[in-house]
Amino acid sequence: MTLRLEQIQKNYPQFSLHCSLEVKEGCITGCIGQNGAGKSTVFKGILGLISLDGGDVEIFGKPRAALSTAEKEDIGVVLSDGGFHPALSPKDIANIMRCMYRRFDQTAFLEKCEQFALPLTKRIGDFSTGMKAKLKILVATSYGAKLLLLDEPTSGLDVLARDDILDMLRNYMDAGDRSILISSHISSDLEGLCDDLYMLHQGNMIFHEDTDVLLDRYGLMKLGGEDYQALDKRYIVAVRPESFGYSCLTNRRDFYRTNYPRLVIERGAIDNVITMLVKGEKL
Amino acid sequence: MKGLLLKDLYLTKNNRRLLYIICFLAAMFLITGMDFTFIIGYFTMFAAMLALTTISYDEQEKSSAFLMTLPISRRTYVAEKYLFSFLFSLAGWLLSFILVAVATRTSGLPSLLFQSFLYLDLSLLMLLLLLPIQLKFGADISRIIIVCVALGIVVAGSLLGKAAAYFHMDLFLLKEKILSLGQPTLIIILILLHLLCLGVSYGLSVRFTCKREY
Repeated sequence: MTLRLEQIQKNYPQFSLHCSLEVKEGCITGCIGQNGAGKSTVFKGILGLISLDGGDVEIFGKPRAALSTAEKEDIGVVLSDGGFHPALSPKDIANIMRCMYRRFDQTAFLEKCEQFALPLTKRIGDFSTGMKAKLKILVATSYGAKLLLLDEPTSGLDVLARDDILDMLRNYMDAGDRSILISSHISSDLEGLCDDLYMLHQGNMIFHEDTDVLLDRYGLMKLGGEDYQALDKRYIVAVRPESFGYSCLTNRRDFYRTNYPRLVIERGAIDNVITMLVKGEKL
Repeated sequence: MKGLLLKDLYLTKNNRRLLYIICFLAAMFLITGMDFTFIIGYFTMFAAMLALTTISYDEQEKSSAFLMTLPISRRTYVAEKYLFSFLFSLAGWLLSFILVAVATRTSGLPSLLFQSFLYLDLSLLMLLLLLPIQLKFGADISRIIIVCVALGIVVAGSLLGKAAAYFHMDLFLLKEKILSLGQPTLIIILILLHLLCLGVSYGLSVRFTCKREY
């Protein structure tokens, strides 16, 4: 296991985080939730940027606090609202990184900057949001880290820039022994990228599933009051009353498709699951 | 450590306009015949303050949170801040000393060296006081605290004088007694006092930084 969070807790006056999470080797794990759900707190807890009130964080099978400097070089980080100072240029950053990481490939880093049209000597404070986001990913992926921790790396980007970043991450995974934990509040980004997904709501992990299972087996059914009463509810995960009757989230779409052929069943999607789990009633 | 030193050097380079202004002012001081030691002290203090601003730079745009994710410990971060501030102050002192020595072709170099060295020492002591404050409270609150500390030192000095008068203590006699200890003893005492200040300052800085949440 590359990363394991066991019942970590963090209490603030008006917010509490309680969560467990695992990232397996060779996998991309997504963490999705609304703004303020606690995604950044999870990342800060993993990185030791905040003190935890309980629970354990294990990275590469070791408690986080016991990681050596060499092991820390195997972690690449993108924070949602932090990075190198805006007064620095990509060239400055390359020189700094060369001193920090033994495996930092300066030539490849600078070549990639040019490939993504990032001016080498320009202050990063003068970069567009998309350019800054690409640079952050390039920095995190420039020294062959085995674990990438990416907190909202696509936040505030247009579709094309987001697509570029997701492609960079897919390419990074080609090495095979690498893992990524990525958070986002944009479900479509994670749907096409992640092997499994965690959903965070008000500081609690409310859902975990393999993305393939979610997309293949989950479904949203919309039915009237009579149809709902007659429905076999064994595979219903959550129900939400609607003006027309009920919306039901199932984890056995095939069961209802076979046994209730008249029902309208939408394909499983992260947005449906989030809406149903947050606003509906769990069965 | 080397990477952090390089980062701070790049960030300080960003302040080069301010550096030009200070150099211009120093040149004016030289031309108008101002006290040489004052010019060196002025440069040294300025270099120390410039080095200190790298902490404020780290606070901007939440850079410090990102820095703590790099393969360095919080202790290394603090140690680098001390090392960078001391080296930068030393460089400022050395540069200004050489400039003054060359520009004035003064014959009293040993005397100038001794007097200007006091300014370097004062700058380093100032850094020992300001570094933990800056690391604990950040740039904005630090300014208020620094004013309070300066005021506190003045008030403490005044109270000490009044207390000495009240208890009929002769401060002049005390000074004479201290001086009578002899130069080698005094130097050893001063070095020990400086090391004590360094230990307390560094210890507080490490404590503040290790406890900090980003």
